[in-house]
Amino acid sequence: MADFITDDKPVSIDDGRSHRWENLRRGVYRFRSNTMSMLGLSILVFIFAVAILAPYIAPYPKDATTGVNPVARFTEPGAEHPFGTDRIGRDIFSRVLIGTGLALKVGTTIIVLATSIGVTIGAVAAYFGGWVDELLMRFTDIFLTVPGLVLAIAVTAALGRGIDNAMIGIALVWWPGFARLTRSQVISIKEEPYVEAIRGLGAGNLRILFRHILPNAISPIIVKMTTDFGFAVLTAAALGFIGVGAQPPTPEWGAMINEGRDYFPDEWWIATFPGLAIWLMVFSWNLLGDGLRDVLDPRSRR
Amino acid sequence: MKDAKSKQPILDVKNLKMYFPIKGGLLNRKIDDFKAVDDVSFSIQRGKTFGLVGESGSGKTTVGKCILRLVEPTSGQIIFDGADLTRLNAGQMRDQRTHMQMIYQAPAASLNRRMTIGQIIGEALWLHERLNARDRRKRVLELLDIVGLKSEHYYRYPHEFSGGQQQRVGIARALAVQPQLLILDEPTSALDVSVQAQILNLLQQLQDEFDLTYLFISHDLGVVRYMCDEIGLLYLGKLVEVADSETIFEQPKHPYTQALISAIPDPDPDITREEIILTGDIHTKVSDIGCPFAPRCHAAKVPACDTALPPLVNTNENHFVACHLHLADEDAPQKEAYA
Repeated sequence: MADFITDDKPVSIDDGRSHRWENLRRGVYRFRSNTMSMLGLSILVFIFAVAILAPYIAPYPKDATTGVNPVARFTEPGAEHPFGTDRIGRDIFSRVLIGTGLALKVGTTIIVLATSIGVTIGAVAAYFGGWVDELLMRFTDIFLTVPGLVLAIAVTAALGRGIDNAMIGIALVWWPGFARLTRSQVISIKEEPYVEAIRGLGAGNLRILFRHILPNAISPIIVKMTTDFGFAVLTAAALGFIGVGAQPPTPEWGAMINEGRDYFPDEWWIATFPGLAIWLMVFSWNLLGDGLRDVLDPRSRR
Repeated sequence: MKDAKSKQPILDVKNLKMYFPIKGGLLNRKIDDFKAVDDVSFSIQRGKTFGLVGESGSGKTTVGKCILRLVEPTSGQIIFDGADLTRLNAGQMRDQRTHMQMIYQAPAASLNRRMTIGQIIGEALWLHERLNARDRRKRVLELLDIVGLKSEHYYRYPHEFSGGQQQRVGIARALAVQPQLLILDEPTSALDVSVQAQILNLLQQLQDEFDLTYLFISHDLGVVRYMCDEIGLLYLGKLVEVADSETIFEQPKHPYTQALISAIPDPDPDITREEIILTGDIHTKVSDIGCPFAPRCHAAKVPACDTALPPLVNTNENHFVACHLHLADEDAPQKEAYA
């Protein structure tokens, strides 16, 4: 009885992995009990599988690059061409499949670049405060005062047309959101007593910021990365659509819609199927993001 | 200085002032100061416990943070073990800081919730003496044992513990860097009464074992009486009475101290005492020149109460009081200022 305060539950094994495992299991359970987020995850698993297998399952892989087949131009969707063909007879189905990997690469690059820039700037501004904060956040405001898409078009046009420059251009207008989110997180966390305690133990600024503050600020950042992924792909498609992004014959969905624009609505399939692919991509990342928000929100943690 | 080295206090706070600027007006210029700590002086002998008592807003936590230089004091000296901390640069202060550790009021908030207990205490050991992983683990287990936790708590996360256990983790982390002085900032006010007693007993046991010196910050007079050798009462950033624990409770001289002590509940329902009810709150203040406590004071006033700030003087064998009533009526031979 004497030690009941320090021994409130019987524990037989000297191992915390079981506790960590327990927390993970609860998170997975909460995620799984949300039908919509499970749907989002399932679609994404499917999308990733398609991206990996596309070169092997696409019926006309050459059509994604240099292939032309003028004889079969403007074929309606059917057994031979499930999504039909475009004005030079390329198989839309093959191009959409092979474009999946490109869309994922574009989204990943934009989000990783934007997160690295935004989190660093936001965290440094919030942690050091004062004139550092003022300087960095006014710099961030400059990017926020210009509409994102317009700025992205301008940057991409200045760097030169093409999908790689489009990714850089979009990332450069995307980071301010991450900077502001990170800043607000870090500002509230840096005042917590545990941060003061670790400083009192002699820890330096870098250790405090990267080992103690950022890990506790990461949840909403991960949620934003997930939700933004779809929109980043959408923005890249928009740049492709207006012609400054991916250049023909790259099977980029936005550029494909642009090519199909002139033949709509008579040859509706040329623009519709890439459009559906974009929609599915944005939709599934959003569902996943919402599900992750429920799991990672500290208030709903045990 | 004429005393032997052993009699020299481990911590000597001299004329500590912490003013926070109040900004306002069109250009957001400084219009006034908020005097969180105003000319506070006290000292603590090695191995002793000094209690700093006051209401919310009296500046007691700010004093603690100034000593650790977590906030930069406006002026004054903090002499720790012979070195004036206010003159150290950032690097020197980092070396000194581990000699002093703070125990926080809210134990859960003072632990990183994403780290296990082993990682939290282990990091302190890494920062302090760069122990390798194996030695660190061994030392953490020793520390857990010292504060009354078990080895199976090593891999647990803070949220899996009760408040009392979390506070034990905080104490173990502080002890990891082998401090000489612990600043205890209301270490038990967030805990259940039964757990409070356990933590207080642990602290006393550790004090004996490791020859620790405590600065005990609290508003709970019952706890302070139990823990402290010497007590200072803080009111609006100023010390109003300083004496050893016994004297404060047996012969309180300042009207504020008298009021606080009269308010301590007595467990015996048959004993009825006259309780002094204070009116207003700590921010009730009328003039800049008079005694800060005058607007709430229940004692008979003298004219000086509204016109002059009473200095903290020695009225009797190291019993320091800042009150005009005691300046006026006692003709003690030596009325030297404190410290």
